Amino acid sequence: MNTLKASTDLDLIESFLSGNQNAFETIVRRHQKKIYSTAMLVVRDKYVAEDILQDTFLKFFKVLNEGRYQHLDKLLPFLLRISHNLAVDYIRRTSNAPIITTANGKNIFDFLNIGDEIAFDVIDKNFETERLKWAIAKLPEKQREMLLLRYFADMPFKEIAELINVNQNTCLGRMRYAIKNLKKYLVPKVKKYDQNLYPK
Amino acid sequence: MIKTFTPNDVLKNQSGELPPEDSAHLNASLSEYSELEDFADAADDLQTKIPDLLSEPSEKPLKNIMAFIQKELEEKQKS
Repeated sequence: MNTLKASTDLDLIESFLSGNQNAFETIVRRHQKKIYSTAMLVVRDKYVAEDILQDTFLKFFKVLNEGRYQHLDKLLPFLLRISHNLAVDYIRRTSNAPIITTANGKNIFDFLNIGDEIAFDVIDKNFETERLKWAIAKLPEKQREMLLLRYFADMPFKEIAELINVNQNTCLGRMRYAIKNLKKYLVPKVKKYDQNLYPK
Repeated sequence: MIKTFTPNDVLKNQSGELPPEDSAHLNASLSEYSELEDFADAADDLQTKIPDLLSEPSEKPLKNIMAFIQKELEEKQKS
């Protein structure tokens, strides 16, 4: 198993294809933290994220088994994209859940504007990290994908551009907006109060 | 010649994709452009916090994955 740990992803894939199941387990152990965390950033539910982690590797197995894997040394980005897509699909499927509205038809959480703050208070263990996770979950899909490929997979923009088949400036633009949006989301909200109730 | 840098250059500098001479020039002149410096700080801050975003799943998915694969491969051998 120690020799497997030192092997490259490509060597592990070849070893698995020649019948060594431990090689697949090594691949899962090597990348599962990033794949699971990618799903968690989108779905924010431990159990759903674990299901997505499972499905990501089963999809990879299927692709391998059918001889369709062509990404060679780009395994992590390939898995990150599957995980991100599955998580986004899950959110789309569940977004039809009933919304509690006020008498004038507005979403009660938009109206009260406290839903996320309450969640933070409960979590509060590591406020700053949880807030960053929340902000990343709020990013548009393509900006979040860019951030994950750049920082989780540690890919340069040139390689990301080739992988997702867009030009490099598009990648840089998405990343630029992701950083700007995160900055915007993470600025603390100033609570306005009624000047008539509490005059100076 | 004075070179003007953009946020894209800051991002490429962070990912190691800016030519060395441009990278040195950008690092030296960043403090003169407050907006660009703010952007670079935000990008660096985000990169620093990335490891905090990672969390470990339970052993359950790994066990399920390996059990499924074993079953599939056994069935494949039979057929």
